[in-house]
Amino acid sequence: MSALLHEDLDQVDRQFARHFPLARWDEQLGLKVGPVRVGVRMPAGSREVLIPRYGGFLTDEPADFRCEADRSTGLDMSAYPNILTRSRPGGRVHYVFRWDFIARIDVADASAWILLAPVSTPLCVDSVIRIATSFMAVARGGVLVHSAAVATDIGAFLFCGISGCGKSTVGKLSRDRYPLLTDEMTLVEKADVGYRVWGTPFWGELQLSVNRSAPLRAALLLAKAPYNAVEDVPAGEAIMEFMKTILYFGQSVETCDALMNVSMDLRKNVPIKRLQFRPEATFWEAIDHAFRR
Amino acid sequence: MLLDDRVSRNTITAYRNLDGEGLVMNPSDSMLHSLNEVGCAIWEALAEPKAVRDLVAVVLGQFDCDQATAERDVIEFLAALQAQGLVKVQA
Repeated sequence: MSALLHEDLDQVDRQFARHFPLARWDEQLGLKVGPVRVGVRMPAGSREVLIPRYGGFLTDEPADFRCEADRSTGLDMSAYPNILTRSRPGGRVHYVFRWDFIARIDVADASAWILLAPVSTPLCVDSVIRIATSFMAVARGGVLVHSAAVATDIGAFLFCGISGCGKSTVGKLSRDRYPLLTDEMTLVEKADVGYRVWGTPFWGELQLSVNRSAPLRAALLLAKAPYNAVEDVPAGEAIMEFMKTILYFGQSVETCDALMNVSMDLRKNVPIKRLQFRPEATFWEAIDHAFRR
Repeated sequence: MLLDDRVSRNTITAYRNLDGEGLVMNPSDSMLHSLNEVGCAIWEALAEPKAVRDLVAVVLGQFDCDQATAERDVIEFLAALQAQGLVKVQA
């Protein structure tokens, strides 16, 4: 195949059409990501790798979103050492190119197809489910956010930040006090009142994430500091900083618009503040002071 | 960049004005850019392509500054947008 595969998406579609939809498959599993049930059909040897990761998120219920993976013996993706995404105009169909797979995600059809290169591992399927979930979340008026989420008696707090900002530290320092929904990736969706957050099967350093949800009380932008404080953030800055923590791969203006709409609506309905914190559980005193008065 | 150069916005961008604070997102690189009040005025004026001197006039009409400062600031701002692929400038 051409090294410039991403430049001819019609050619990519023809490649996919030779494999999908799958006529037969070796293994399948179902998992829940928030309210969405994902059904996965895949080659032999995948379940034993994926099932330990998904634990309490597994389900036998009928799927809302279908994901199919197939091996392609001749697929050489070495031209893509880093992940590359392309989107069709309209923001419905997205393609992901990586050194070990190509994926085609159709949001309107609620499906994803994955062509696995010979060098791939079953964890490719997990990567595509994360990416597909990010697109599906946007389509449903939500987002997948790099954040720890902690459920308290006054609602859940989202601790947002990119890698290295302290999500796992916050998780470690909170789990003896309150239930931890996740230390890495949270699904945030609009609810009848405000927003609701879910732990996802996409766990981080603590390998701890639970299939539970809670109403969102506040989103806190993490900033390491020698002191603890919850600080107000101007609206534009809050939305921009929050958007930087959204897991997002699309290249369509429609998806960007949708992300902006979700972030702005969330800011209207839920406080977005900055948490200056030092790595001690005492940062909860600052949160209590700000939100329980 | 000269005052007679024509400037057009990259139409494949998402933009929001939040009470004078602007956010521009470029889908091609997923980069977010923030604009101040003056930046928002220029960006919104670029709903249609314009000459640099027309954008200077927009700034002079909405903000308290002198001609030389407006010209310098507008050209600096447009150059920054151009470097980020958010506008095209044609002589």
